[in-house]
Amino acid sequence: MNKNVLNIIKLISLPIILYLFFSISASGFGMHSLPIVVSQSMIPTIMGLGLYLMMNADLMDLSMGARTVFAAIIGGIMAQKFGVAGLVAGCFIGGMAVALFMALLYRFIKIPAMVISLGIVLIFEVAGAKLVGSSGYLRITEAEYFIGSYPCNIIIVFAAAVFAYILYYKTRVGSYITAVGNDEKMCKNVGINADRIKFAAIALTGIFGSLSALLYICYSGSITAGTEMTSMSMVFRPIMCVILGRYMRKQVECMPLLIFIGGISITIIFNGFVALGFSEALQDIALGMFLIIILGSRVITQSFSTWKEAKGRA
Amino acid sequence: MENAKIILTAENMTKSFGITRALKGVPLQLKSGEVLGLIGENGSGKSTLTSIIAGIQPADAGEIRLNGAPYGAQSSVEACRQGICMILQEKATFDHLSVAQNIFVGDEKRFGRFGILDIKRMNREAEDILKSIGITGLEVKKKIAECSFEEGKLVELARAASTDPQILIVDETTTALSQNGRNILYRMMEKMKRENKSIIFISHDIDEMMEKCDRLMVLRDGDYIDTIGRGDFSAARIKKLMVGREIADNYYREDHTCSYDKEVVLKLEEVSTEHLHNINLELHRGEILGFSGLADSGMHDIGKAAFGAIRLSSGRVCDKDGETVKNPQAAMHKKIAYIGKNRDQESLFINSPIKDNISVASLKKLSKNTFIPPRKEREFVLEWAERLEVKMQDIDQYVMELSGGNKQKVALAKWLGFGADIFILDCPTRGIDIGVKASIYRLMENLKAQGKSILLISEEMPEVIGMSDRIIVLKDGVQSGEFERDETLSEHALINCMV
Repeated sequence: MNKNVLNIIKLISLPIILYLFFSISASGFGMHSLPIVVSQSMIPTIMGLGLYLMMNADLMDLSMGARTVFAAIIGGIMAQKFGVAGLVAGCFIGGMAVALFMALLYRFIKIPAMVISLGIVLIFEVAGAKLVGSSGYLRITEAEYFIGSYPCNIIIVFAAAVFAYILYYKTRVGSYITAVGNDEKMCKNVGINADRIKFAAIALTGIFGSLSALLYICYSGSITAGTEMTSMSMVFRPIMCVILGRYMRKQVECMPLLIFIGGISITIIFNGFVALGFSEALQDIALGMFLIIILGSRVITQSFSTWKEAKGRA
Repeated sequence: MENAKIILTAENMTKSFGITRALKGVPLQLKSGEVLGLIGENGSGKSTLTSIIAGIQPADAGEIRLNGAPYGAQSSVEACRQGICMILQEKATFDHLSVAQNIFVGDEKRFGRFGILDIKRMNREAEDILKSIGITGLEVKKKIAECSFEEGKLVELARAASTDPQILIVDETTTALSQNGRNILYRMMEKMKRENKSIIFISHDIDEMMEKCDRLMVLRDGDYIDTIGRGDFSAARIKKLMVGREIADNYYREDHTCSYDKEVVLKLEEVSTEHLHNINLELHRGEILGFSGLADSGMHDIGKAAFGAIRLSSGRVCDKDGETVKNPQAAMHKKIAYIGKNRDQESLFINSPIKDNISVASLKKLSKNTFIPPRKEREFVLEWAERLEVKMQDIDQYVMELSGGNKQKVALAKWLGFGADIFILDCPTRGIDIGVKASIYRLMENLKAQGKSILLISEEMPEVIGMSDRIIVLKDGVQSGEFERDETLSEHALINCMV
């Protein structure tokens, strides 16, 4: 069997093992949870696809959650006037506008992306709250949210993953983003304009931010505007997806698939813990442990084989 | 060759970095179909001059003409478009891009439309280029991160070949290449010569320069000194022109006796690592213990193991009191210093000033109630930078702006200032000109005379033979021979144990 296929099977076995483990150990977890788990993993996956662009260009972004919420609010407002078309267009207009705004700020102010992303969080959380008014949330109808609900959400994420794959691996801008993340000074020597490429990387995250906004508002049929940086908590799961994906890329070079595997694994763990009745604090501890074990497994394996080799020699 | 057409002329090239004048009105003439060697000590201005020609940095003054027309590339890409390509001394490949992507980086437009790349075609063409310059067995889909440093350099050669340059500048690339890699470069240079194209070649290896160049242009401290034709090549003359004084052919130790105290200051007992197997050694006070072997013999691991910088799978490293050296902190506590083969990665913070690099090991000594008095720190750094004669603007200059020899001086100043008793030096003269080389050898002799001990790991056999009291030869991670200092000791004897 092709080595890549074998490696993909190995990697896919991670969420399968987790799924089987929780199905056996938690009574509330089983086949019936599958659509929920899949649906819940779609948002971190799609946000992860965008975050990977930023992280690959050596930029840190904590604003993806705020951008998603803001774009979803714009989508929700437009859905009330233009139905499904308004919802889709609103999410795209909102997502792209904020991403372009952020990219322009980065290009011209030239301060670290993380600082800009914090500014974006503060500005667009308040802007979103103002747009939804005193109620604090927006509702869309079932006729509108079907477009981003299960199983349509899977199709959207699949299309986004294919687009991401082409973008990361088959385009000039994708190669340049990787090169910029590698060494900006060297980029200059080969004629790559690092500032322009970073601008493009941030702007392109708008596509994924828009799609995550669409899935986000459709997931529950409503959107709540949060302030005081509450949207930042949405970023951590996608960041974990990317970290896991980056770790697994030693096996297969296909980041969209790896981000998806990371996303679904983390979602299974969260849901599994809920089914086991873990408190929120315990869930966080267990998830942290899971990440450490997975990321540390290579070191543990290497140490074990070195020890075994030395023992063999002795 | 005498009547060959001049394709590139540079006149009155001037460049300053702060108060340091790197180039002082240097001229250059390059004929078609020739290899022009640029030779000079570290900091003589060779790389500055060629980087200006290659569009990497602008000159402060001066005029360059290419094929008779004014030339002033503003970037390396523009220079490349005009037919001038440079292979840099430093690494110039992107770790997370494939070999093929690295070969064509910056020139991807030809592989696609609307920004979408035809990766298959790119890989095919990369294979063709690698094949055309004689590189076999390098997978084009492989990422550079998975390649060796030498393979990365070969990719840079392929990148240069892909642009089909009229003038190729090779800046100290051969130090990173094995004989096989060098042969690939030499073949490429010969092919270019046959096609009436030209090469500007920079190397510190005088023998290599005399063998490969048609003319040699000598620079010293940013001044143009002389240009010598092939018929007038002589190592002694070149050295004299480079350094400005007579340099003896043999700049190693003049004594031929093995001399050191009985006291053992560092001991490796049954040490095994990934590349070493059951190594035992004793380093004595006032001894220079040399290690020789092929690049993959594991000898570079010896230094790291002795400094506690790599994990031992078995055995132990201990000091004169029998205490184990577990890690670099413990090694420093026992006054052990280490300068790695890869200076920029292992011995220096190249993105930091000279001041931080020299004082970093001695901060404990310099600090007063947790705080580091700035004046005391500056005085300390200045003293050591001056003692080592580091060529610099001031101690706030970034190490990345220094030449190879001066970087090495900074690394040495750090450990001398620290007051180390044991020096582990892995390839201490790698990529360094003869002037600095000679000064490093004198420094080693002085340290030995002071009763300090040196563990010298080197890929240059004359250096190991010339400087060591004892030499241990490694083969496949195992000790395959040991020799004492002797006038009759030859490279041949060492080679017999290596292969």
